[in-house]
Amino acid sequence: MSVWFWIGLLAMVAINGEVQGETRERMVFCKDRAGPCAASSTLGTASRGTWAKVDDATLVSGNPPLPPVLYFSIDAYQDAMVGLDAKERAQAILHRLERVVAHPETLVFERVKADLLQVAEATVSAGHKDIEPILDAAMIVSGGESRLRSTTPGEILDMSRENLAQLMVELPKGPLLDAFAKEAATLAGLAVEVRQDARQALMPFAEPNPVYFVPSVSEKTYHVLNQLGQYPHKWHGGVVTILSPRKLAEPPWKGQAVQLLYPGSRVYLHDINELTPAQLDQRLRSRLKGDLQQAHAHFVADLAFERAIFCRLLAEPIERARVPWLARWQEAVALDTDNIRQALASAQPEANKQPKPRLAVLRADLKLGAAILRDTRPAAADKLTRAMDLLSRLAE
Amino acid sequence: MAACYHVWDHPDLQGKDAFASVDIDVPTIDGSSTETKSFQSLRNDMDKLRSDGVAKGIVDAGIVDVGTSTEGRQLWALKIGKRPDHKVLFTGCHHAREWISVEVPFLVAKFLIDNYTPTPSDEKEKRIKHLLDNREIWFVPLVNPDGHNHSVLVQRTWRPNRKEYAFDQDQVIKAARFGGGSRTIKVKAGSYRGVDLNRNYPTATWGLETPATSRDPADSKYGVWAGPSAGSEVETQAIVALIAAQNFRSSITYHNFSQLLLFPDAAAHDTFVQDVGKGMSKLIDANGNPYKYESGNTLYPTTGDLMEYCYGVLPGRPTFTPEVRPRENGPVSSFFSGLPESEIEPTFKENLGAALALINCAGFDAPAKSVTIKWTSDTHVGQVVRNCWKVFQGLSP
Repeated sequence: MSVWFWIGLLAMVAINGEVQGETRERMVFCKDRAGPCAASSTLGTASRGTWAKVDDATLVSGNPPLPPVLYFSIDAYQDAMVGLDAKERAQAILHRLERVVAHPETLVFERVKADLLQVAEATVSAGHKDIEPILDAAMIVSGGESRLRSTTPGEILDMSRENLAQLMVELPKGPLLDAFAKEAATLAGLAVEVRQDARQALMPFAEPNPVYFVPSVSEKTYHVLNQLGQYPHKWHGGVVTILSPRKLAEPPWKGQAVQLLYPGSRVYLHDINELTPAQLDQRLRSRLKGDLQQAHAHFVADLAFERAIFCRLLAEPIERARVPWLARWQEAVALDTDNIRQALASAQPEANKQPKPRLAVLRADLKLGAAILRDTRPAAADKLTRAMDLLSRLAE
Repeated sequence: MAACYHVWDHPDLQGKDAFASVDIDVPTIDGSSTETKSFQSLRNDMDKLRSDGVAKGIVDAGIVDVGTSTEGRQLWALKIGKRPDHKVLFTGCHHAREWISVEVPFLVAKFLIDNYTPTPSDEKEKRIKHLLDNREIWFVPLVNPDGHNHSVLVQRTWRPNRKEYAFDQDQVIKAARFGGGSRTIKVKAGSYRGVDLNRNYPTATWGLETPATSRDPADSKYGVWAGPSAGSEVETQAIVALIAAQNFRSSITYHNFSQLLLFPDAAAHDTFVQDVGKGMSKLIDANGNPYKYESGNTLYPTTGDLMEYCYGVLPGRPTFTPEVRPRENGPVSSFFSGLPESEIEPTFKENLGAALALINCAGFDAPAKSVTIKWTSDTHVGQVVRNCWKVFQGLSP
């Protein structure tokens, strides 16, 4: 059934995405009007050039090198520019050029991984069970089978259990949490056997890792937060920082009127790394008013998807080591895939029931990503091609 | 060849030439994506330094490591120099995510071995020959190899080691605070992983809580858990045993970040240690990128750390903690393991003079002295200035 689902899906994508002429527009930076920039629509001017939108057909048909791709979609560009005046927009574009576009591999992989997650969510929401090709493709862009080769089987088991515990603390009580608890028990049994230690049955400690705005923080505390890797950001007389809810009951946080801004630290770290001060100010303001429930659902889906990829990254060292418990490990991974599927479906129960357009976006981004990386990072471009092949082969 | 960071070792680098590198896909700092970075094998490169040094007669071929980590990784070591009564200790990477702290001591060791010649022809070579003929220097650049491996491959922000402690049932810990007071910690039954090696040394103050030292195993997630008992970790034990056996006359342990040169609070009024520390600070600052010189307790106290331990067991002997690049108000993307590879060489260069000064100062017991000599037979007046750090002013790598 799964193969036929993919054949049908990919065929429809081909019709929707290519035959019907749908094409995607990207935001690029143009130093002059040469190449694809000649046919672009300018949206703004900065000191070193202009930023403009250009469609994929024009972009990839031009002679290399491609102009730097600032944003993979116009929506992402517009979202990044909310509330900024003309000067701040120009600053944001130049900042992105230096800080983000300078690392095209990270930019592309991040985009492709986000696409893969959306396709996976849409696929399971539409009632389809087979997300293996998506997970395999995600594994390739996350470093492939060899990434954890220097890690021992015992360490891998530990990592898998810690990773699962971190996901479980984010889930509300209910059938999904119960399903993951069953998986955790399976892995614990395996750990007891591998480590020959009954205490391995105990659950690894984990707790949520949210980000709060704290209205008052001393300079010394700010320094401690910095040194401990809690990435404090001074804002409106206080500090935005990664802080576990457990800590809120202790000095110096106790009694402070903190406000939750991010359910997990990942998006926050992304924002403070990539945004200008003006953009970050806008982003934090919007998060204060934002729908945290929805943000949490996205966060959990992201964690679940990440776990699914992680389990695949862990497989190679275990298989290479020919551990006697390989079959039981594989059973646990199968259980995990089932659970991940449930987690992805419950993250967006109503939305994303249309896998086709999501897959079209993914394929277009894979193609563009490969074009961006082909000359400077050929190994990374190959990964994208492999990911594309992996999805395509299922349709043959 | 562009500089790159080291991994403890990697299967793809086994059997390869020294200083060969391999591309490894690592998570980005925020964990949302992947980036490819080149890494060298510390095992291969330390082996190469060792064999080069042995050929020059300045390295002990028998010293390969000083112990083994929780997960069985060796703590690679080099012993350089000929004079066992004046010993110096260089350590790096107690904290897994501080990748640059591996590189600085490694590059200091490489600099000494590469530049040693038995027939020096210039001032720099003479200085290096003097150091290696008259000191014995131990380098342990990666004290926390398990944590470092985890930081490279799984979670870039990981800080402690990877030791797991299981608590069968709920526990209550009464934790005293540094400076007075205490609190009660309720520890839930479960498994906790990761002890802060630089809070685990068996100092007189081990386990006293500070804003950056905790007795709560749950704070392993922030990497500041002092461990279940003083010196509980095999990595800490290895360094403690080394110190006990070698009686070092000076020591330095590298960290990042903030651009600080820290001295032990207990040495605030130690004339010799302050003379050496201020001298080292001047040598760093002369490179144009200043580090603030201050007590380790200025911004927040720490307990159970190596610098404090060294000063406790070897009072009066210079011991320092550089917190190297980047500066605190730099881009957050460059904090800890985010420090770009292009910063490795400048960080090493700005720290080199101070490192050499510390080695030299191991042969001294007091600050610089001005000795006035008068010749009675004529009117000449000479002055001899002994200063263990000043001779490295203006040294260029």
